[in-house]
Amino acid sequence: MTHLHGPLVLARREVRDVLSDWRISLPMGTLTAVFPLLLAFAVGWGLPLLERLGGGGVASRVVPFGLMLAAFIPISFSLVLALESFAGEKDRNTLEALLTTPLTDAELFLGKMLAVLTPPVGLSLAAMGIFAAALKLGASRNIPPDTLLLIGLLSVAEAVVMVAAAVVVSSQAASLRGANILASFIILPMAGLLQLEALLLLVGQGRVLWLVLAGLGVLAAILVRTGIRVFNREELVARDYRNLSLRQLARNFWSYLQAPPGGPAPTWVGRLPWPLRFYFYDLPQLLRLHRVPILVVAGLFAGGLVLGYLLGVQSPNPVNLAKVRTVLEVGSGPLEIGFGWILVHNLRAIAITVVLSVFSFGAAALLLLTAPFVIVGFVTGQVAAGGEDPLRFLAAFILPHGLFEIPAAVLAGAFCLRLGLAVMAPPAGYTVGQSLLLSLADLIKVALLLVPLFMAAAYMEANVTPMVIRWVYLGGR
Amino acid sequence: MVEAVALTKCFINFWALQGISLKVCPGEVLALLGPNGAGKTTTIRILSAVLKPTSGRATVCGHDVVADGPRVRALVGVLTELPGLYDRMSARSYLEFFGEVHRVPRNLLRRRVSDLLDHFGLGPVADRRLGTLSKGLRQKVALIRALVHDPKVLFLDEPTAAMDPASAWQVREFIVGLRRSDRAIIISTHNLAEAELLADRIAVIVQGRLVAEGTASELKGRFAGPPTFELKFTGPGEAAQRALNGDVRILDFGLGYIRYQVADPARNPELVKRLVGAGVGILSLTEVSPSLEEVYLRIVGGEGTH
Repeated sequence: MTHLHGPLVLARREVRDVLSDWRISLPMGTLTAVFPLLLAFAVGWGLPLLERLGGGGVASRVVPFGLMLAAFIPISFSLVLALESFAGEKDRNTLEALLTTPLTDAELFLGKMLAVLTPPVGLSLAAMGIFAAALKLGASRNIPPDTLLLIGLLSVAEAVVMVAAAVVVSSQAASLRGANILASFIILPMAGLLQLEALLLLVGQGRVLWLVLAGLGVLAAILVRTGIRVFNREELVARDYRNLSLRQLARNFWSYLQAPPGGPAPTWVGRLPWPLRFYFYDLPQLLRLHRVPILVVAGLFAGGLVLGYLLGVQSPNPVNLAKVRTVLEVGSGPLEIGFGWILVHNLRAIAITVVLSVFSFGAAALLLLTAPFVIVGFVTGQVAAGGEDPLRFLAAFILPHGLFEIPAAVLAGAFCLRLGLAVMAPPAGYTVGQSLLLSLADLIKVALLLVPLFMAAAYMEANVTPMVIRWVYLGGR
Repeated sequence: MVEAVALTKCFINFWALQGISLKVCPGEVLALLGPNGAGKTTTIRILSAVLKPTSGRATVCGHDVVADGPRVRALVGVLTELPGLYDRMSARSYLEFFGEVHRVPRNLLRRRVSDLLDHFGLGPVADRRLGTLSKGLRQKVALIRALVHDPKVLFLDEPTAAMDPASAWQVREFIVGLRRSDRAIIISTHNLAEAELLADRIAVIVQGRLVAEGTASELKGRFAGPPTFELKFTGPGEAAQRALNGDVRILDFGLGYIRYQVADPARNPELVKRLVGAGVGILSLTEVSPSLEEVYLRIVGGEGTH
């Protein structure tokens, strides 16, 4: 059970510690005070100029952009403080005393989060206040309350995302130097996000930032949840004893590949030669163990199909199958794509999904692989809107190769989802690294089913589906 | 009060503990001895619910260290191997911080911190930044940190390391006092004299295994071999050697003395008679008590068996 007493005591001490160190507090305070003033001065000076030059539309967007910059500068300090939170304490040998206290792992994590968030968020809000006040006093311009609220919430959400990710990184790193190197995984996406936010503001799409805020909120919740899940004192202390050994990693990975899924197998399994054991025991076990993600992904794909259909039937541009027939008669177009191209395309899509899933907690698996189903649903809806039978369309265009490709996509999505979640929720007794290796081993095992399925799908799509389409729509011509 | 049964701990690539069992009762001090990397700190970390054992079971005051970690940590005080203090805090605020984390009521905490600081002679530096204190003073602050919540069980890793002799004496006296108040204390140390002085029992850990356990005199009796005697004499040393040779194991000899081991001390009168007969003038014959260091070296040298 998590109490707030411990986290608050911990956070108070750390905030005082930061503020009592003038090497940290002085630059933070100076930047927080001076930078918004300079920004407000620049905006106040530039706005009338822009308006005189006829750029009134742009001028109205410069103020929230300046506000966002003023708010973000202090937020950037949070990364340094967060990386320092565990790795720095470990470097100074102060961590173990803290670990011997009755604080639970979750209380420690929350205490550190609070400690690291409080100064930057406080300074960020102060910077916004300074910017707004300076703009009002210097240029007699008010910032709308909803803009203040949006930028304020965005800054807090950005801080929570950065801090939660950095605290996880800091708790997993063996030293402060290691944590700083790993911080690139946080800095680069955040830099991209800031550019996106700036772009949205400058092109007058500031309202989209509410969606960005919602996304950041979800991401922050996921990262905090991940932090609480993967943070434990055992890991922090055990790192003293461990050396990163590539040989050991390889050995672990090999043992995960060889081990029967779900624990010890019955004795008859051990007597089977490897391919038989894989297809008659390991694979069914893997599918059984992953039944929840399989069902989730299958449900999502079906939902995507339905959503696409509903959007498609409302489309103002229904598909005219007469054109498709013309294409078929001419005998050119996408239907003539060959087996190799289709197979490589599908496998490349899965490979990209695997990589992105690791960095997106599995979200990439859901988004990237659901997208084709939405598109298929959309086209089917357009076909229906054009007066054709949608089931006939699906049976001709999708079903022949879909019989193989859809199960393969569901399985790939489910195992990629598990791979992404391996970071967030390692199985009991596994470290994050072991959990990732285990999920990767499972994915490789299931690839022994996926590759043949994708090959069959590619063959069908290249050779059988066009024949079926011609047979259905052109009467076999 | 503290009980461990068959504790093992594996850190992926090596076994730090391989079946440690021990028991410490209230008012008892157990010293853990062993070479660096033997598993002493890992044992303490498991018993203080910082690490989880790979197998085996441990309880502190009846609470399981795995299932009830926060409760166990509330009951124990741990002096870590390195003091690890927050340098920018004063000793007083540092100790009050740890007391607050342990939920010690504020008034009681202030009184206790002041009393402990005064007891260890830290009153005059209580409000100085910890970063400015000497190693010995920092070690004392770390020790007080382990005591600030009045724990029932204490784990002290090298409690007098870095202390001057007077401070070390003061800490040892304090530990003796704590024992009288029915606390269970486990000390991990390389200071064998300290272990012998403070501990009721000594456990020697080598490569994650408990290879010997008992009181200091039990260990000496078990591992020091036959009793050693020192004979001082006048006259030629060669004559004394010749007279004893074959019947005893001569460990050392020099001008006017010879040191030997004899399995049966009752044979000494006969040996003395033989020496006198050989013209050796006996000045004294005394039994030499083996030091704990000798015993320890024998145990860690591979002669120990649990």
